[in-house]
Amino acid sequence: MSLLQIKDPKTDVQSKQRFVVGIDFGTTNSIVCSYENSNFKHYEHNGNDLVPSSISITSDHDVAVGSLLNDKDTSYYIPSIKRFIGVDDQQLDYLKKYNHTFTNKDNMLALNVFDKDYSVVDLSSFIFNFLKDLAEKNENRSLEAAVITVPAYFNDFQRQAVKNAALLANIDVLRLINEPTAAAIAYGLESNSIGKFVIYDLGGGTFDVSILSLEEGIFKVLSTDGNTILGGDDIDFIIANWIKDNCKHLRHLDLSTLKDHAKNIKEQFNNTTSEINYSIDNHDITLSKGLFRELISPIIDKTIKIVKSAINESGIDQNDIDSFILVGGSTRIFEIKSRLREVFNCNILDDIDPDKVVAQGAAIQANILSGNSKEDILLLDVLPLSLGIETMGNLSEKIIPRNTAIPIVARKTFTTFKDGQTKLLIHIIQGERELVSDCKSLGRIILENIPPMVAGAPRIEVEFQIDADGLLSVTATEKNSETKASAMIKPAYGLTDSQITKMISDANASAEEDMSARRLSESKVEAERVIYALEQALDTDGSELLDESEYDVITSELLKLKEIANGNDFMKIDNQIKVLELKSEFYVERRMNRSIQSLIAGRGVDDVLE
Amino acid sequence: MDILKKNYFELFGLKVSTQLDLKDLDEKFTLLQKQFHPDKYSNSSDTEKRIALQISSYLNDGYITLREFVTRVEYILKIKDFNTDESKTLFDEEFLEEQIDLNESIEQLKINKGGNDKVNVLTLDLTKKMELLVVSINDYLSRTEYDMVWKNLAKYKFYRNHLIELEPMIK
Repeated sequence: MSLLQIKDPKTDVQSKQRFVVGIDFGTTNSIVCSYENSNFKHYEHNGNDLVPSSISITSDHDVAVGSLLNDKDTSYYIPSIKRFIGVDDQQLDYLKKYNHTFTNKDNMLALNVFDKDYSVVDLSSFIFNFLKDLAEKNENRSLEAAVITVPAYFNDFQRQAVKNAALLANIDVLRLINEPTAAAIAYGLESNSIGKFVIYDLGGGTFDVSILSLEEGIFKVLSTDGNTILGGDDIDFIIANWIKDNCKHLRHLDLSTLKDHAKNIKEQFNNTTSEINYSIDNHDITLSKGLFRELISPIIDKTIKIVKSAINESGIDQNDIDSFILVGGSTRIFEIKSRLREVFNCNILDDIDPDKVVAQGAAIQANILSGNSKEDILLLDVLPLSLGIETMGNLSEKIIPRNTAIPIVARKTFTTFKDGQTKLLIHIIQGERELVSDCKSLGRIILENIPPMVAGAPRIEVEFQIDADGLLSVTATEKNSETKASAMIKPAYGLTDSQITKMISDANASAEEDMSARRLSESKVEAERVIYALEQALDTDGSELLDESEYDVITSELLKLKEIANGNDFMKIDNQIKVLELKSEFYVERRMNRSIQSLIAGRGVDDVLE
Repeated sequence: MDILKKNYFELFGLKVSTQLDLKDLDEKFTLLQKQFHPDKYSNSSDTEKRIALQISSYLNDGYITLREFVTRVEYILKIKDFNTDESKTLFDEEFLEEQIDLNESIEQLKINKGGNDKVNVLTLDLTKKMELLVVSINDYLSRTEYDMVWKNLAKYKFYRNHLIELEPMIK
């Protein structure tokens, strides 16, 4: 509880530093990194801080992550698990490119490995688990929380999957933040810069772009755009095809071998200005800089088109852009930098390792959100894809347009079209296209128990809330009936909280004892925090904002919590924390109301009311 | 929650007006988000988290609404309890004829791909008409003739949409 945050900052609550990290869950590699005392710590595995986002599973269902500890011949190998996040088992065209047996588990895409189904969330959680262990072993203490990055272009379905995977690995997720935004934080903090920035993030398989304005501690995302199937892999593919077309001796090689060679050739161009001589199976290949440029030009053109559209969407002029921030391994290609300079005539920022900049930004943000850092930074992000519902004729009606600042809430009133109708179906979709079938279906929700009335009489207000993680929740309220029952609804794909809890406890059944010890210590820490914050608040303005009986209610619950927190029952502690929070809710509201008054002070009520 | 009952002008401590100092709005918005954004409550109780989420969402919506002229006027009508029902809009014949002509001219410009001068002349003409509408909207508003505000705003939106269509043609 941080009641203190809305009061005079001179009261310092800083206790010991919490152990928090930033996690960049990447398609090819993942990174876990912490930021303490102005230093980044990248946690290494076998001397490498890039952990391959790959999993191998033996026939005994032993799981290994990263550097492939299991024997490749006898175990099942799954590289780049992130590619499957958000894919459903109906997208056969996409899935048939991969040599896996796909099934469905918990309403999600799953892979069948040695007769056992692993959902994409299960598999991703193995990676998170590994990263968590890596950090904990290095620090010799348990991880308290993490900020996790996702591609800016991820839809709700994909964000939810990433968050669930992290929760399943027992990671307390402070916030999901967008990868380009994370990169901007890393650069913003380093250079203390202000201005308008384009974050150009070209990874192996995806392209993300965000337009940001940075000013005095405010990182405001103005627009975001991208392409989920455009990246360095496409460049490898083009070069591989060129080799195939031009070197008849190498035509017998399969495409994946050729792509590996193509990648090496591409990387050599990072450091040279002339031509590359490369040998495959004793056949020499020469590729000139000019030809390389020509070959990859269509890919760069595509990215530039997307950047221009994002700038246009952001409402700022192209000439007002101060710098480009480069993210993703593919931006090491010299040609990309020179083309961007040429087209946009601006500064290029590339001095932070483009593979690590995202994890570093996430680590900084984790440090801020956990309260470790006094850095006064605020991140204002946007919804990447429009949220809509299906209306008559398979058409999409937008409820929240893309690039709207989040968090945001939108309300829409529905009614019935038949007398006595008690149920209503709402199909939620995400995407920019007119036709529902061209958008991503986020799920169908059914409003039940509508009081039977004549057609058109019920007024059912549905509230679509997007939180700061970019995640959607839906609440429905019937306005005309006396009950005004309102219900939280999760779209079908999202796991409910109790499902998550069950999955976590299943996964940890063996370590139950450890768990309860840990739970107890967590609850005690939480209780301490709540007590401390509330006492400080009461000291400051308790007598001013509360009458005597209100004051007494809060202090007696506070005393009860103190007593219970000395015991060993974490359920009781959690319970009393909830009771205390409930009973002091009005006090929190009063303090917030008062703080908003003082913020817009200087204007009397008369001023405001015209 | 008192904050959520304030109208957007009150929320940002601004005078109810169609003309706003956007810089002032920006500053107020930033100041308030710095206080209420959920990131500032990541270690807080669930109650505080929920309240912060509500306030921050409300601030974002208020900011978006007040930033643009059209949504700002619509919002003023809303807090004046004027029922902004699209079906109420009945245009005079003169205006409808003008719209048909305008649509034709713009289609022509699209087909002929150019006539830069013509695009510029039309853009200027539309901008002027919109400026005049802003004046009359303010005028009707001060006389609390809200149905006329609504009617003029509807016209304004027509012109604005034409301008958006012309925009890509300006080189």
